Amino acid sequence: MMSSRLCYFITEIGIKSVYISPDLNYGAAVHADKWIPILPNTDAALQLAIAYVWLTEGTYDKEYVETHAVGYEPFFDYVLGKAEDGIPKTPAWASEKCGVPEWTIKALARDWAKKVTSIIHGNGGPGIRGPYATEPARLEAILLGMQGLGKPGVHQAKMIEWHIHTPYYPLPYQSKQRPDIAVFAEVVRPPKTDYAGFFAHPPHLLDQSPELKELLKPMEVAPQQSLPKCMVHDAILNGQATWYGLDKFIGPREEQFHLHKFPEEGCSTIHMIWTDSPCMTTCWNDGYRFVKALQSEAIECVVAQHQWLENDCILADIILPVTTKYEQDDLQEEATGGTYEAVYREYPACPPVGESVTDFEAVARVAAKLGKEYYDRYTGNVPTEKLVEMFYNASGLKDYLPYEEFKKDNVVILPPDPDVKNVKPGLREFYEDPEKNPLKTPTGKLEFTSTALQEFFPDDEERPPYPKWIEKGVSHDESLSSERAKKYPLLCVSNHPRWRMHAQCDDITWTREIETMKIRAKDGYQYEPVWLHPSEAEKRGIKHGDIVKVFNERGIVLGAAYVTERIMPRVAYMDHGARFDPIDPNGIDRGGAINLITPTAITSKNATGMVVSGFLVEVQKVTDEEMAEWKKKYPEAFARKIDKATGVCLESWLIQK
Amino acid sequence: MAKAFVIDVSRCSGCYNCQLACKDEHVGNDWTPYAKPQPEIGQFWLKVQENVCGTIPKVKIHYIPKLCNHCEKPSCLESCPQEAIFRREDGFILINPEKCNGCRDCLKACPYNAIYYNEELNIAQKCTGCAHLLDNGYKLPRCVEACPTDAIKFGEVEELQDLIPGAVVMKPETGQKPRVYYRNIPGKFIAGTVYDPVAKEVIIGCRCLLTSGGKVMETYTDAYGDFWFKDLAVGKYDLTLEAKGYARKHFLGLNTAVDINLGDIPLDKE
Ligand code: SF4
Ligand code: SF4
Repeated sequence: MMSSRLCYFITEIGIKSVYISPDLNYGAAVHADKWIPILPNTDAALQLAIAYVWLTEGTYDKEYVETHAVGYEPFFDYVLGKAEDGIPKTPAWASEKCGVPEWTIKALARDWAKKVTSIIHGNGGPGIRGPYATEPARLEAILLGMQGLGKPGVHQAKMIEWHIHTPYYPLPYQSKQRPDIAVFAEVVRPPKTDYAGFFAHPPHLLDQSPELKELLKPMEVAPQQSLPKCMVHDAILNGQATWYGLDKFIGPREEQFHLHKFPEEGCSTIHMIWTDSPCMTTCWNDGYRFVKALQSEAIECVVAQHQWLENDCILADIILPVTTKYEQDDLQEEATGGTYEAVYREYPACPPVGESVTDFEAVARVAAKLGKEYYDRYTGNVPTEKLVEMFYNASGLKDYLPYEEFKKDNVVILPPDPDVKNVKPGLREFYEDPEKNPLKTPTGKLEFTSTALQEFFPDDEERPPYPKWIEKGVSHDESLSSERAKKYPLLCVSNHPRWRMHAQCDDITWTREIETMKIRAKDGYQYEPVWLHPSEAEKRGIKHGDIVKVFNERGIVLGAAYVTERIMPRVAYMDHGARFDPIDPNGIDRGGAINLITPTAITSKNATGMVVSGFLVEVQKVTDEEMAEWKKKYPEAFARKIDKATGVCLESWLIQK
Repeated sequence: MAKAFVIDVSRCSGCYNCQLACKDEHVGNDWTPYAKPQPEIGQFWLKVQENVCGTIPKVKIHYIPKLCNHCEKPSCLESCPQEAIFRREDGFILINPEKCNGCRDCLKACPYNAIYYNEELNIAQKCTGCAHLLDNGYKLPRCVEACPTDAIKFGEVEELQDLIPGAVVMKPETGQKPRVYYRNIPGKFIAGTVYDPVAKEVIIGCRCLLTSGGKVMETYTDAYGDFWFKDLAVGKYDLTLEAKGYARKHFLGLNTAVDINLGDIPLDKE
């Protein structure tokens, strides 16, 4: 909502908004002056053609490029067709790939060059989670660079999560007292690997609370190794995995050139899984492969900590029921608002439901079973009241407002930086004087050709030193030009859900009544909508509201057709995060968890990320005969209790003895 | 004295907060004598209606939040054999849940489908204007309070005098005189993109003339070769496209019963 208000403001002050997306998304629906539909994950082609127009028409900031960028000549040669491939990246070339008419590409390139233009992202979503997503991301930086990134009005901005929970990315106008509040249960006892401490509590803040520092000392039993989440299934099924970079989304640039392997020398493979975010099937890559990994002989036990019996929990051997934050006593911060930040005491709104305890307590109780010394070491036997004080003191606010003062109102609101008016926006300082204010790249300049990629991966064809259009490669073959597209002729786009937070809140009765959230089909089940253009629906004899199957080699996910002009032809669109409701856990899902059939491989050979959008599928109507066959073959799946308002029920998984 | 709602459709972002807040106020809450609890699902005392207009890529969306119109001449009130439906001094039309016997005549009588039947309680139910709140010191109904863009305004008719002129009501032909007014409901559009099929370039500044019954409207294509005639009445229109050096193109008898996207229109050289 905050973003939407900002968009109204942008329109009111006379700025035009162009939305480029396969779907007329919820922002575009209300705020777009112009919508340019583009095939999913083909932005790189469009971007290269825009560079081509600017280069051939001389409408980019040459002086800026010469003074602020390095390695631009080989990139420009590639765009103009003077590189090895010999293909000029003309608008006609791009139009074939991205589905935007040639004339519209030229018009966009010229309008952009003529006007002061910034790029705004909702969050990132499918744009950064497609095969080879590194390329459009890098190309965007280059295009902004070609128009003088940092100049007044030439910026890149993001509409939500203005401050992710880490003090490493402060916003310039935020308070000088950057609080860093870790929720008790989130406290990271770093694994013993040398690079994993990145998300741990900042050492300089920890120094302000010696008691907490003592408590958070790495434990003797701390994990000896770690693994990126998008590779867990591979690591289990193949017995090993190698990758570059951190096991996290965010980290220092240099980290991405370190090769890691699993298992580490002298360490074990995975025998047991204990998860406190059981949503691999709904939120990560190739969910059916994850199911297979859990079922493999290598895994002896699966433990899940969760509030509801849903998603990966239904594959677990043991479930530790935990509380929601509304049942917890904790300290909390609000820092996503961007300007004001608040730190406040969070008292429980209600007593814990059933036998649930906090995540912290659940882990502590397991520690207690291992022996009193483990329990003592993990909890320090500190009462909640004292924990609050320790965390407050390590938040960086101690000198601004002593804990005794904080306790009076249990809330502190931090004003933005009083000098905010003097803070230069975005990369303005770099724009004004790149020598004095270098970027954090190795050369301090915008690297059109990355010096680090050149050094570490000079021959990587999937993430070359300067960004390219990668239609297919060893990692992915998910383009409409692929042989596979004969069988799976639609590109699937999957956004962060409009009506959920990832896999959370899929069961909210009142949102489930909204037509774009769920569609009640003729069998009474509320299916996840699958957006299809009327032309694609017609070809397949599909009508609005029909039960359909979205599928590829990896499996089948059911949904209900949402036939609309809001999505372009050759595309199917399904939000991620619908609850897993397996008809057959190894290949048929009724709940509509689209991530079950997303690609297996990471972003590209050397780039470690999840790929969950921009992949090939086919959509077909589920016939009555097919449904009847499934009902016959999987009676227990259809016998599960379905609530009219909330969908699949917890009780349906309980076996009464 | 009468209360009214004025909804500015151009400020509605389709967040559905109003629809959800209304449910939060009334589902499972017993506000007798104003209203009995609304069931968990199935009733929408306020329903946001999504309208998708046009065809790809000239698609526009607007949302219209719809609730009981608290009409000046409510057909439901007259239809009720139990005299359970009554008008308050502030103009709100309420159904007395104690008197209602579930005959459902009012459901049929309301041309706006604003009344729902509660099977479990065997009563008719609808928006109460949150009279239970207003009578108890609250200034605004829940839906109004929940709107983050102030798209829904609420107050005495007199207070809203600046906003009501030019606003429309739903189905004015019923003569029921609704007290829910709408501003900026978009009319129909005719749009397209003009381009040169040989040069494969959009044509910028192409003159677009739209005529209907002697009325002439004029616009020029923008940087994307796009033209838009917005807020048109339903009717027949003739369109002429003229750009220097190109042969004119005519589209005759365009019927705006639905929004019209003429797509990418090639203009040939003269
Ligand atoms: S006035 Fe109250 S009852 Fe009526 S629509 Fe708004 S929130 Fe619902
Ligand atoms: S709360 Fe306001 S903006 Fe949101 S849907 Fe309702 S009227 Fe529209």
